[in-house]
Amino acid sequence: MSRHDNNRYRDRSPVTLWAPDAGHPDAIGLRSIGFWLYMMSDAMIFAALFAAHGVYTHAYGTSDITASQVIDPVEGLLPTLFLFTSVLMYGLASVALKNDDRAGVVRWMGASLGLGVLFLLVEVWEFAGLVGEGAVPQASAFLSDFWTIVWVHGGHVFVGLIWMAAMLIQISREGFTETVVGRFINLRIFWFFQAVIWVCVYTYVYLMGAS
Amino acid sequence: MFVDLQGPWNWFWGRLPLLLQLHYNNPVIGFAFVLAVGGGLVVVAALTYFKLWGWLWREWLTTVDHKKIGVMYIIVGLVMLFRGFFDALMIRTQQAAAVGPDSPGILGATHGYLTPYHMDQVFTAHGTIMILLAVTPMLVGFMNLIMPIQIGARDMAYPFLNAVGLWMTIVAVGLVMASLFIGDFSHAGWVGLTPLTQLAHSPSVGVDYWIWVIQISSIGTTVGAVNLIATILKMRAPGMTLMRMPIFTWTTLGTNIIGLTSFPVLTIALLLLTLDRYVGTHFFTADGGGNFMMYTNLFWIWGHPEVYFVVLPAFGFLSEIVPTFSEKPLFNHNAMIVATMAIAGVSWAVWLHHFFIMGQGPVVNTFFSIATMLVGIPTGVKVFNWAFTMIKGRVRLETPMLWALGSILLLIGGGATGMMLAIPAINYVSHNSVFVVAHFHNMFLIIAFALFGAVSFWWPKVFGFHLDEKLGKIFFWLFWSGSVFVFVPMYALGFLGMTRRLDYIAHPGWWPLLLLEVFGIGLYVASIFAFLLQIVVSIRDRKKNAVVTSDAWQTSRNLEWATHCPPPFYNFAATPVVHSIDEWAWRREHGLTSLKPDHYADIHMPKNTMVPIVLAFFTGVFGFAAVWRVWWLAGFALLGVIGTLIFRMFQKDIDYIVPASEVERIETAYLEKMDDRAHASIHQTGEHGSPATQH
Amino acid sequence: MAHDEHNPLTHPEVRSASSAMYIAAFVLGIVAMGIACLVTVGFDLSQSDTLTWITVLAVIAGLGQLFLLFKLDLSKTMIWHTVSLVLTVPLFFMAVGLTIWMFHYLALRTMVGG
Ligand code: HEM
Ligand SMILES: [Cu+2]
Repeated sequence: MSRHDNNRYRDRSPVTLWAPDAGHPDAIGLRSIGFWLYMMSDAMIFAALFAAHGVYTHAYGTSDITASQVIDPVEGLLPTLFLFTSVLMYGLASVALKNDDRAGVVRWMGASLGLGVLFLLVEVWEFAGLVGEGAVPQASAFLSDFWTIVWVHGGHVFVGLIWMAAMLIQISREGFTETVVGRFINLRIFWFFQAVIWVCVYTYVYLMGAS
Repeated sequence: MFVDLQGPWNWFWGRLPLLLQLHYNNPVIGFAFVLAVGGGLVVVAALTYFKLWGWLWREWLTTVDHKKIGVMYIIVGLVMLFRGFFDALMIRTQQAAAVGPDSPGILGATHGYLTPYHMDQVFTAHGTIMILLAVTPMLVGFMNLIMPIQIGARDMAYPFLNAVGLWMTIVAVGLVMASLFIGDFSHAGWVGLTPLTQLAHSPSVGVDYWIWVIQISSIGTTVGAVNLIATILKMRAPGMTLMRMPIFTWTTLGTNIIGLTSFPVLTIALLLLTLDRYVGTHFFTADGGGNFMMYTNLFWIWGHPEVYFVVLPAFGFLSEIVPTFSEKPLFNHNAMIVATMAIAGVSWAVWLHHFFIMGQGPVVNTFFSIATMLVGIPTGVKVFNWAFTMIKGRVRLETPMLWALGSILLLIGGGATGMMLAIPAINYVSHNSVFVVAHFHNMFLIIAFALFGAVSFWWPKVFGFHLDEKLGKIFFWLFWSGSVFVFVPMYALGFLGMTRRLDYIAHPGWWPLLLLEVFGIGLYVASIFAFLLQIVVSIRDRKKNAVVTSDAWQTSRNLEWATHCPPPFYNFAATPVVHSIDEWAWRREHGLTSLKPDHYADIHMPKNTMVPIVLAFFTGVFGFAAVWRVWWLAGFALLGVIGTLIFRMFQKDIDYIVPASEVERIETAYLEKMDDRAHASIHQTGEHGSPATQH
Repeated sequence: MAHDEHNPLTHPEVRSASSAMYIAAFVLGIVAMGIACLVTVGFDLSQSDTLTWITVLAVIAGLGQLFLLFKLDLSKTMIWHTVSLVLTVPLFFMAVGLTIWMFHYLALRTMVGG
């Protein structure tokens, strides 16, 4: 017999068989755990890319372009700064949310959006330079890998920016309903995560590539 | 930016002009076309004749009800099981017909009736379809259908996403069927052997179809995994602690943890391959520093966890069926939980056993060999627990139990051969032989048996009447004998050294065994007819076989039996409170089986929506355009997807309230109907008619 | 909709926002990455020393961000977030580590690949 079946309820009637009304469900918490789970899955996207990167670090084939020629860690600090500041701005937006300050949320989120755009622009500029040097993804396995990792991350940032723009419109139109707040929290998870992933990309691709 | 293609391409039609170069004169494909289109037309005609389109749209296509979504998943899976089976039939007959240099050939083939390129597509489609579009949807269907009720939930955590997952699967099915007639399918095996999948060696669109089919179905699986895990974590009824959760719910959790974390790796493996094929990168090429073993590695990082992804829910089915038909609680619930999670964990550290022969040497091989064998411990625990459940139980050999027993027996055989393959020294001689093929079919048959067990076990729950026992048993025995006749000779052929994926067999000495396999596949064909007949007969006799209480088997144990058959759309009129492992058995033993709650309350439900279908439409267009490299169309489709998502973001009218009075009306009507049936059946003590202590 | 009478701003995941912690995460991230960059280009360390240093710094920055930004802990609100992360991280490192390990041996023994 199962351990829990100790007839505890036999003498105490009536047993509660059906729960009374559950009250207000935690819709925000429910959404956030789901989105967090999705982020775990997304993290494994990068795990696969890093696994491949570990093998392609010196896979130049017949190309004579080496990692240290195309990767400049100091240059990489600029997008790092933009992205981390953008994340900070989103953080401040969520402090404004806590204080029920709609104008503040819109302002900080706008700043976050702008810095995200700057991040992408710097990346585009950096890679446009690579094309000029002939360091295109078709040149060698290493370059295929380098471009792919950086741009899978960049693609995430791009999606985040579209989401943020839509979010800005929604907040200014609808205010802080439960749905909007839940979505705001999910975007916060997504956006903060891009910073964590960028730490890995910067260290593992930029710094290790240059060392 | 894009690669140069062999053959035509223009910006408007993409690669579609290739179709003009193909000759559609193959009767085999013609037959498939007639079958698929004919079948489709019959369905469309029937829907129109009976004026069912509105009903289909309202009740099914736009639904967000987890039970209906589950049923649709299972139907899609069964249809694809049939498609995959047809491929199997072709493989078996081709191999039996193409033995030895003297064997004749027809339809353009030198031997047998399939040309090598065609045969290669057939076995590739067979593997891809069976694993990803037949077994997986059926399993996900059951998880959808049963798990939320087992934990006493009203619905899944995200009903809308649930529908999206289903529709992504349907898009993938649509694409794979399209590939049959529009262009071709991959010929590189379900694993996508590199560098064969590179554009230089596979210049046609087949590999691209294969890529996008898998990518799109993976979206569905990932979305589903998020949903199922969140449901388990957050939606349990009061009292349903983690350790009281039914084992099927636990296996759902374990499986989806695997799915959530391993599918992204497949996504990346295929993304990198896509880049190689579309923009000319060098990930898996032989030149440019590429490394095609990297593909194999990434594929199996997903691939091995995937096989446990499909087997764990099957173990869950067995853990529900065996106790019900042994009339005893499952032996050692906690050990079962630990074993489930242990299997899920170990499944992540064994993938290299699929390429022991790659050349990484004894140190690495030993690690993965030992890790692989470790999985035998928790699996053994499970087998013993089922056995101990049956010992001293009152074992009833009804159809679901037969399937369960067959499944456990197969597990012993398949597990043992897996252990053999896990020894590198043995693997070096058996790798790529049909011994491996027999091993994994043996393993997948466990799943198939458990699935058919689940179909017969939960059928009365979902439809309110039992399946015909007699035909069910015939179906079982035909399927069982088919399995024996196909796969025992296959093991033997593996030992004899026959390699896999042959379109021509040079060794005439293997012919008798191959013919035996054809006999086996004939039994399978018969079993399909038995299955179809069983369903038709059961529907005809549904009045006679109607269930009389919510507990269709009288001895079932979990909460899904604590609601009506079929369950109302809100699952439970009032959320049950859980007091024990096997709550329903606990209630039965304490005479608390009344389904009439002490109060009725308003119920909050999500509204139907057509957004998932619209998303599916755009995704399907995107997939097709990507295969044929019609970039403007792919771009529009992508914009369509983004636009639809943003539309959904701004949609407000997405839920409604069912008033308490309405709930009470539905419940009362149902309870009265059941009362009548119970009274009627006291007189005719039918098989399932024993009176219940219902009220 | 009935449930919007409930004020969503009282939700613990909204309440957990804190400027101090976000600023701390920002500073930690920038400083760690700055030092790591300096270690790589500014000092003449051996490759393995460099790797050790930048790995340590990345771990500090990453963990710092995880805790300061996401507020992961064992509270009722966040427990499942924490558990799922703790379960995913080993898989992450297993996938990367075991791959590099096997390809290292493969390269040694077959001279295939970089
Ligand atoms: C749980 C259910 C299982 C399923 C669904 C399954 C499925 C498969 C599949 C699909 C393949 C070959 C794929 C291919 O090359 O096309 C395979 C190969 C293999 N399986 Fe299993 N398997 C299962 C359990 C096991 C177990 C328990 C073991 C060992 C303890 C095992 C050991 C192996 C090995 C070593 C190979 C590689 C053989 C080779 O290619 O040389 N499998 N299995
Ligand atoms: Cu395996």
